[in-house]
Amino acid sequence: MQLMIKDISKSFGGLSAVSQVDIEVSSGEVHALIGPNGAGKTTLFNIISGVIKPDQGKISFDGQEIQDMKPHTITQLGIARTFQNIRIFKNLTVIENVMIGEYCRTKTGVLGSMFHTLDKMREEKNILSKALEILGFVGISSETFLLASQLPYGLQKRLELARALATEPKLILLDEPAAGMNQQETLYMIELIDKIKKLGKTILFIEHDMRLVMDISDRITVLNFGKKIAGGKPLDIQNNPCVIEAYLGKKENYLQC
Amino acid sequence: MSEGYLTGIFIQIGINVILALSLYLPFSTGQISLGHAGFMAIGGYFSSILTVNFGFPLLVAMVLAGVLSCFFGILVGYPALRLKGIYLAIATMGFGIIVQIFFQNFNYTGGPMGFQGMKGTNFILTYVTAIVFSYLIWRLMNSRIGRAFEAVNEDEIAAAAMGINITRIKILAFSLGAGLAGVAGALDAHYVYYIDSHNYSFLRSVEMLLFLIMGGSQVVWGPILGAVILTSLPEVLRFMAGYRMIFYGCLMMFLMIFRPQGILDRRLLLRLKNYLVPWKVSHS
Repeated sequence: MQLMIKDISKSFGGLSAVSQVDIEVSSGEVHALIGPNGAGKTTLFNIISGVIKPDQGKISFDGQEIQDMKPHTITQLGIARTFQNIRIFKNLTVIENVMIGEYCRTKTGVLGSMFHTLDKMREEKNILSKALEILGFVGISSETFLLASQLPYGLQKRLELARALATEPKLILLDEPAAGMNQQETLYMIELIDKIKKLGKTILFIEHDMRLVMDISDRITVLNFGKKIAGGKPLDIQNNPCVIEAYLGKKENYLQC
Repeated sequence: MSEGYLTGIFIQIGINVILALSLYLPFSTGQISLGHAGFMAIGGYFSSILTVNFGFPLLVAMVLAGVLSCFFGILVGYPALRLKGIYLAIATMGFGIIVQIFFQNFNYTGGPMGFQGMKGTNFILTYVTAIVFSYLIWRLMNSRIGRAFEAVNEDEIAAAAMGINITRIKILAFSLGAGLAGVAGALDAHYVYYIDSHNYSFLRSVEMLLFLIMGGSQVVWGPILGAVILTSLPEVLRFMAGYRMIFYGCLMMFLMIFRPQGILDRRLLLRLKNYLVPWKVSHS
């Protein structure tokens, strides 16, 4: 089990955002996290990536407990993420955005940078070529030297994905990768996620587009009002009455929800 | 105009370039300092004591002044981490005032009577220092660390998600900037021969900020350009006498309204580079 989320809870003031959530994600799995808006999905992502500390519970990644670690340490361990409202570096170029992703995998320090040592030059060349490779992988090579703010929305989302990939993660957290995309763009995103899966990476993603979710997920976890209400294979989730109730409202009273 | 007068202007430009760069470093991570004159004062006084009282050569005194200022930069930098924007500006302003008042009352360095006897700053020393610093900082900003600076400036949360230790990067930028201001302070003190606390007032800190804001705060060439223009402008405009300051003020306002990022920004620099070296891979 690569990622184990155990009994995680978080409240903001009186509002319980996440409540006693247990999720297990195996290595190489594509795992979807779904639920109505406000269910606590992004909060859970923030807890996993270290931006927020949970009130209780443990998260372990590859056997290591990470719930108290700082975000940059968690990234170094191999967890990358994208954000719901894209957080690319708008005033930097596309290629620079991706190059920054490689920060935690490179090591030239202040002195090496200032004095332009051979090691630094070699590392810079590697950084650049790797970044170009990743841009090709996500399909935005033609925009390499544009400022990130000049990209259209769909390509900005791909850039954020490229940047996350540059950190050489084992696990990627994608927060609504297909949000705001049309049919064609969504199809491209599905292909991209599949390509990433083929690289051997584990993917945990939040999505509202059910076709995408059912299409590519190995397993799905459903949250509602901060609680986990269902977990399992796509087919099981589709037919789960509690899940249907969460999205569409009550038809009959199910005691188990 | 005597030759000595022109040399003096050039030396001032050189020192101001270093001061502008010293502010550029923390600014590139999103940290505004309105108290950099404080670090300049520490460097100025410390180097002066070393040369006048202990006979140190100026170069050594400059280096030691930089180190001491850098150390104070770390001291100020840590608590400053939790402050942003205007609050950081005010806190650093407070620091600058504390340092100024301290030297006003510190009798070992002369208190209100000031300290004197420093000499040794010449054109060559100033410009070698300024050019070396410019080069090193340019190299730094065009490297992994420089990109981390820019990332922290753009979006701290996203930068942390990239594996960047925000705390370390911000302290690094702040303390390096403080160290540079200290070296500039040493050069300045050994140029003006006599210093007292008035030399390091809040206005001095604001002046440095103006070099940076006007010249451009996004790229290394910005502060350099700003220092050159704003140091020479008063001299060039000398013929306007009293109206010079009005022109100065209008220029500031005009710039802030129509081009707050300063004269030289990333886009313009990219365009200039593409124009000059179209065949080279161009990234700022």
